[in-house]
Amino acid sequence: MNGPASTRPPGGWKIPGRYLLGALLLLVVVDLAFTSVHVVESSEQGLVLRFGQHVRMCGPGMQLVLPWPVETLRKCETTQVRSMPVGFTLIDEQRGIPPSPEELQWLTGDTNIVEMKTEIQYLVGDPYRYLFRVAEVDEGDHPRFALRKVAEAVLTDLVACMEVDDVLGAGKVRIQEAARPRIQDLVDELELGLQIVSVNILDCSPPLAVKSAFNDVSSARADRERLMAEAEGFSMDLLPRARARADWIRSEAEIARGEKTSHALGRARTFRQLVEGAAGHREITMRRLWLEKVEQILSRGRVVVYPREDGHRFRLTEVK
Amino acid sequence: MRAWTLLILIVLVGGAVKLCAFQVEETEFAIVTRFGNPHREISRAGLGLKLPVDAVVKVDRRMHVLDPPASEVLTSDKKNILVNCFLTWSIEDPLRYVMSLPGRVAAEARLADILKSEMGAELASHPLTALVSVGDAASPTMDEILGEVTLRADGRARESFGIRVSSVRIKRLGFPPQNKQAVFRRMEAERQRIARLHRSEGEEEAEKIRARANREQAELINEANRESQEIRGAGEAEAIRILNEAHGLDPELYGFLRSLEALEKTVNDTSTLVIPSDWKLLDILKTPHLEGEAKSDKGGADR
Repeated sequence: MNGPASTRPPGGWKIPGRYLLGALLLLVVVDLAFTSVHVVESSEQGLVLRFGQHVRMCGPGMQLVLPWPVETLRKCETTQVRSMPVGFTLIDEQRGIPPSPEELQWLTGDTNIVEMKTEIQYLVGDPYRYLFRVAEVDEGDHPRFALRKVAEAVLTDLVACMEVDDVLGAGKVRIQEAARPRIQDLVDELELGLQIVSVNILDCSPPLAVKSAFNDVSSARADRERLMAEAEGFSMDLLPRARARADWIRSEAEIARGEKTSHALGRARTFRQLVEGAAGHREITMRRLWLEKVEQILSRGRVVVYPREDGHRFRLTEVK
Repeated sequence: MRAWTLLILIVLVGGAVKLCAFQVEETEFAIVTRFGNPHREISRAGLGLKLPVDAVVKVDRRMHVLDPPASEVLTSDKKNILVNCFLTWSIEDPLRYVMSLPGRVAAEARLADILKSEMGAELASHPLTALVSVGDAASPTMDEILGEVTLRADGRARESFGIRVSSVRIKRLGFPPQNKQAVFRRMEAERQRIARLHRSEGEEEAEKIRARANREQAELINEANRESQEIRGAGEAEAIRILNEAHGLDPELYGFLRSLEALEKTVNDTSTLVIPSDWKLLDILKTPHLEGEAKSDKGGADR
């Protein structure tokens, strides 16, 4: 084709014809180079579209497809974990604008209001659904933002079943645990093509208007602990003293017992000695003892001797 | 010359392809219209063919999310709440959609109206507790309500606009601004109540601890006293036993000694002893009497 065209005599046509052919060939080569050879990165997956119709998926590496306009390749990042803020937006946060109450506030089961910031970590699980099943015309439609709404729906449902103290306290972990599978279920139902990695509650607090009241509850709880600790202190102080006192009482009793018995033993020993000593001379011993005693007694008080006839008895009145 | 022929051929073929073939993306439906009349609809992505006189209308087949602004709803127990819900929709019947609506903005406006009215009507027949209540895990009533709303919204949208409503979800619940202050006041009052409860409970517990300590103290002392009495009693008993044992050797002598002791104790320095003059011991003062018999008068002393 090239040969005959160049050998034709009318010189005026020759050169433009050759150029034209060259240009056409160049176009085909460029088309081939730019539209049929693609490199898919290791973090990506490729989707091959033939006249717009999805025909096959391809993994990382160099991929060949038919040239445009027959086939095109779309790449989609699938391994990178992304983050979706719920309850605030990243743009606002970067600019330092606090989130609006509508974004931040959630209604609890006991109709209290809490402020909660959550972050959903996810990655693209199904590139086909991600790219083609959900519109991405504006913010609200993109699968990522659909995810935000789905997450909000699940969190609203979960928080609406819990008490405010629970949400602010131990319930946070349960929300995180329960939210992930439920968000995943909804995402699958809506065919967003996303895979939820984790749900993290970043911040959970009572609204500013009632914060002081909530803080007061915490300090009341602390007060309660303090009062109880004080009372414990009192009892810690009292009981050892009481035990000491009880020991004292007991040991005094022991002492008294010891005294009693040793006293008795002493007396018993004296008596025994007396009995032993008096053995055989009982009469005289008793007489001597009597006399000694009478002597002692008479030497002590005043003695009045009263004459008495036989048969008369002594009457006290007469002495007076 | 050949090259030019080729170029012209390419242009001609290109033009023919442009007029007779079209590409349908994965994200679209295509409707082929002939002289303005819908002729056929293509729901499969790929290459489509048509006559040059035909035109192609493309319709987005992807799912859309509609998130209208929150609206106030009155529940059956006359509670005013702010409900922010969203619905997901997609075009089910492209022909009907194209015929009945001028575009997506209009579709969304209609859907928003449907959502608002259905949601309002449904929630008006439920109390607030159907949505918000402290109970176990997910409240089934919320799902029932949403299922009902989805069903009815879907019915209306499908019939009028060829649109499928796949789900309706409540994105956020809240109170209207004018009620919010009241809610905050209530929350505050509730917190104050709890704070007071904590404090008085603290006092109660503290008093209990003190009372218990006091009681334990008394118990310890009482127990000690009781033991002390026992110990003392045992001592007493032991002493008695010891003495009895000893005195048993000669009870008479003991009696004698004890009498003497008692006598000694009764007489002190201020006592006056009145003694009858015929007391045997005094006889020794009268007459030297060597074989004095005091023995028979040993108990004669008197006060």
